[in-house]
Amino acid sequence: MKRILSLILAAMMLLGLALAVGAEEPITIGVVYKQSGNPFFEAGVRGFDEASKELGFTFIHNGPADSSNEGQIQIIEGYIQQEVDAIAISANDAAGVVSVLQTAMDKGIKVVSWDSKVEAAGRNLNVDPSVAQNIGRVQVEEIAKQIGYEGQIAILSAAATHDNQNTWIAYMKEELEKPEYDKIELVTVVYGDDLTDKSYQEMQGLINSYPDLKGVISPTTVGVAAAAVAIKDMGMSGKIKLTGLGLPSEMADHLADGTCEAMFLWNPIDLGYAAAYASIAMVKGDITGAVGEKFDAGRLGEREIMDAGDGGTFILVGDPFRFTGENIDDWKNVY
Amino acid sequence: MVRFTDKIPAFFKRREWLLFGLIVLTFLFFNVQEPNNYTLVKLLNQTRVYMVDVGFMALGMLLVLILGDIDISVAAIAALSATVMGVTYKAGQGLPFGISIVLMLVTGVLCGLVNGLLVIRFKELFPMIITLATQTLYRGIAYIILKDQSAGSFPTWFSKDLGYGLVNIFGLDVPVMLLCLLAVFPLYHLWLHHTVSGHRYFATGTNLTASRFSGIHTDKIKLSAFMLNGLFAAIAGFFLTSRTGSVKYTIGTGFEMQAIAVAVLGGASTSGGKGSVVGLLLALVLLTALKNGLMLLYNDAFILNLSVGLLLILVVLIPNLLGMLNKYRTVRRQRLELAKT
Amino acid sequence: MSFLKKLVRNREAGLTLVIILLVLLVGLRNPAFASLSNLQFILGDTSIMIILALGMLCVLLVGSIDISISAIMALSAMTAGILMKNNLGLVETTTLVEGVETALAIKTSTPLIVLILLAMGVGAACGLVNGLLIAYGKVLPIVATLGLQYIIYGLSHLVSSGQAIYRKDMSESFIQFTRHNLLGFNSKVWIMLGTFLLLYFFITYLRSGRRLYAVGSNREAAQMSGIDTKRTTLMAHVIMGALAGLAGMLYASHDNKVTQDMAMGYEMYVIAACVIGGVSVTGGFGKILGVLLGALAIGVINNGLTMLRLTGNSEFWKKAIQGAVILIAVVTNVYIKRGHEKRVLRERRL
Repeated sequence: MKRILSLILAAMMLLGLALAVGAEEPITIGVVYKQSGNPFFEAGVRGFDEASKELGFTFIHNGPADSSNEGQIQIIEGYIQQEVDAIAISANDAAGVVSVLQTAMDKGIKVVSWDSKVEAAGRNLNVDPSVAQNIGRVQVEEIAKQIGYEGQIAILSAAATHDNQNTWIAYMKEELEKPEYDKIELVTVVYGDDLTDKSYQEMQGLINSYPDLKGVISPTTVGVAAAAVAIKDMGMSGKIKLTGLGLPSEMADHLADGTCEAMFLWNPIDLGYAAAYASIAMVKGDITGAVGEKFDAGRLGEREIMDAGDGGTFILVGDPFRFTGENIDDWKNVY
Repeated sequence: MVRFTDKIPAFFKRREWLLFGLIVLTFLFFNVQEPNNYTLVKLLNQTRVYMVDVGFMALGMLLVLILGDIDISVAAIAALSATVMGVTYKAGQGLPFGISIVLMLVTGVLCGLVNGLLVIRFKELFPMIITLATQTLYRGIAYIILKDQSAGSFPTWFSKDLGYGLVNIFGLDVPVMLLCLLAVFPLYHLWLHHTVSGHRYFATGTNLTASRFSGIHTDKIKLSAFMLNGLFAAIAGFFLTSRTGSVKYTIGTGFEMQAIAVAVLGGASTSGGKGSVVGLLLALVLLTALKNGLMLLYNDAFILNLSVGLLLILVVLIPNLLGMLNKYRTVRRQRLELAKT
Repeated sequence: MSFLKKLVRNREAGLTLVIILLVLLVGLRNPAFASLSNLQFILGDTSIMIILALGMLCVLLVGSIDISISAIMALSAMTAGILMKNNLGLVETTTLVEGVETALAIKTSTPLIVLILLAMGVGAACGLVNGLLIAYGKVLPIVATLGLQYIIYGLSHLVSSGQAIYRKDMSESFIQFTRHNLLGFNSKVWIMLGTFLLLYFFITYLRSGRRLYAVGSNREAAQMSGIDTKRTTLMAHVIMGALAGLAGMLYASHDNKVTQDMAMGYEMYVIAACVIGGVSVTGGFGKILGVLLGALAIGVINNGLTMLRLTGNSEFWKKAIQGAVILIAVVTNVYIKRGHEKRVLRERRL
């Protein structure tokens, strides 16, 4: 029995070794995103696709089914196994993937984070959609304008554990300190856990608990859509203003009928496109990820690497785009 | 008269052989599809990702399943224990790491104790319901302790040498983690299948009342199973943390189902009395080979889950169907013989 | 015998009391919570869970369990959603807006009833597979439905090809489906009530309905007395599947959205609702009214936690509170049941 077993094992090994000789291949990027089947990242992948046609590289993409950190680690380990040249990741947990990405970098794989950053120790470069401060600022400006610089507002966030949400909310609070917003009162921050029904319940709770509520900011795509539905269902369209970060395809009807006058989002296609260009520039050795280096980002023009203030570096893609009832038709079938 | 067809079901009834055959088939299939990346050497390295933490969790789960109970809270226990370790170590500014590890293990055992006490105290409730509730509770506590923070900066031996380290054995690079897991298996096998104390678990799971009347303290057995399960969950959390390098309260979400799947694939039954340590090991190897292959070939998280679900059902269903077919044939043959005489 | 004692004896009344107490407690902190409109909202919001819990009752009664229901909801809603998206068109109509006839373009698609029947059909088919595996394949319920959960979510991914269905892809009649009001109650509540009455009639008065109890409480005895236990188990799972399909449509219409991972994790709430309602997970015991109240209790807890107006760090306590409250409710139920059994024994001795 043991002999047969060892024979089979030896045969398997031989087969494995014999077939392990491969030919030279083009540059491959392994793309990791937060969750499989999320339309935002499907659009991001289209950016990679566009770039791959221009630059002639190949890429593979995957995200966990349950937006977990462990699922992303599995995928990254798979990419290391396949010996990709670069990994472009939108991280579910900025700290949780650092170890595995460090082993990737030890093997010469370049790591670029996009959309949601990885801690400085685990990346070569971060492709930031926009400066966090701007993201916070534009939303406060928008809601203030809509409610006439006076009244109660609330924030409907994703989860108290999301780093980017907390950063934006901190900048929103900082912006609200300014004298022109003196008459605006931020009554509460509630969390919908990025679940549609929970966000809906939280929005309904806000409307019931704060009868004088004038406006809501929801800096999360799930939250802002659920909030729009809740506002409409409770007959508060126009009475409670809404803005935030939303997906055009999801928000199309709400923007068209004015439940949400305007909302923001960066372009995930541009984001993926820029991340692809950055990864290729890094693999080719044009840039190393140091402050002050410049590279050509295709149709987006030249980008300069800047200090991110967290010990790492980043590039900016652009400011968030403002979607309104007028321009939504151009975008609702794009992403 | 014994015919060849009658022998097949008996052969397949040994779950271990079915699993072994599937492992070989899986390996050969993916090796032909992905000759460069799917090699034994590379697969060995991937055991860190697919085998170790779930493996430890499944070892504990096996014990609970043998008793006919189930524990949904294992992943939450792993998260809470790892949280305790991270918070007490405080990136080197808190307690010595050794003491943090002990505290982590104690947390796991305590959580298991709470589960066990609730299970033996409230026999009307299915353990599934109790652990469903304690799951929310344990993860909730981890959430209260850590909030949105993550605790990390562990010593390098932990986050590098243990999590990603390889040892060269006979020219093969074997992950340190895998060796830790494999070291447990022989001991666990001997204890569970070849000692009196191990057999008590099978007896209790097969027939609780009979076991009690024959002098087994069934409550103590249950309590110890849940405590051991808690301990293994904490160990799983330990190894998981060594890979992630930091702890968040969400760590290991959904692992309980993976652990149950592994134990069931390996021959355990949720109705109790059945389970095999060797089967568990083979199931782990099979899942590693399959998941890694699918990851390389299709690179799609949902297809991966779909295949694992299909495998789980088929491995349980096929022996059942073959058994039924065999029974049907025996009955028919007996009828025919009766008709002759 | 005092009124209070009678109340404690009756499980359902005890649970009602707990719910009222919860409402009052949260109402003290936030009066808006106890308002009629909010209570109506909670009822509407909980309706989906109640419909699922009713199906789960059937499955639990025969001693089985189904943890694939959230996946079934996603697959059936996704299938119907894709059909709706593909057949979407605009129809020009005129309506009266503030006395003036205005031209309006309304999104139409496949008739709503066809979509719902399709979703329920897909759900029933999934339930059929579950039932076949469990009743005829002798696969243990947890294992079969766990495996099928993975498979069905995978299918939903394949069907959707990575896309989601949003409000813009939905016909107006589908969006409004869960937004009509009748006598102050949402259409979801009426659908739930209809399902409730239908199932109540089925379980209490029809022979095949009574068999659910018979099979669950003593399978061998049921088999001896000529009941086809396998078919009964299969039937329970098909009912569960069809109701999950219906619930999936309500969920999708309510959320204005279908994603492939819709409702992930919802099954645990549904099982918890059944257990709080006094259904035995080992089969044969459980009342349909109890299930309704159990689901309502969870609805009140969930909505109450959002309405408590907890601020700051207390967000982190919510999850622990939720687990603890469910645990307390379950444990209280056990004590009530134990007291009841003791009393029955004592009365027998007299």
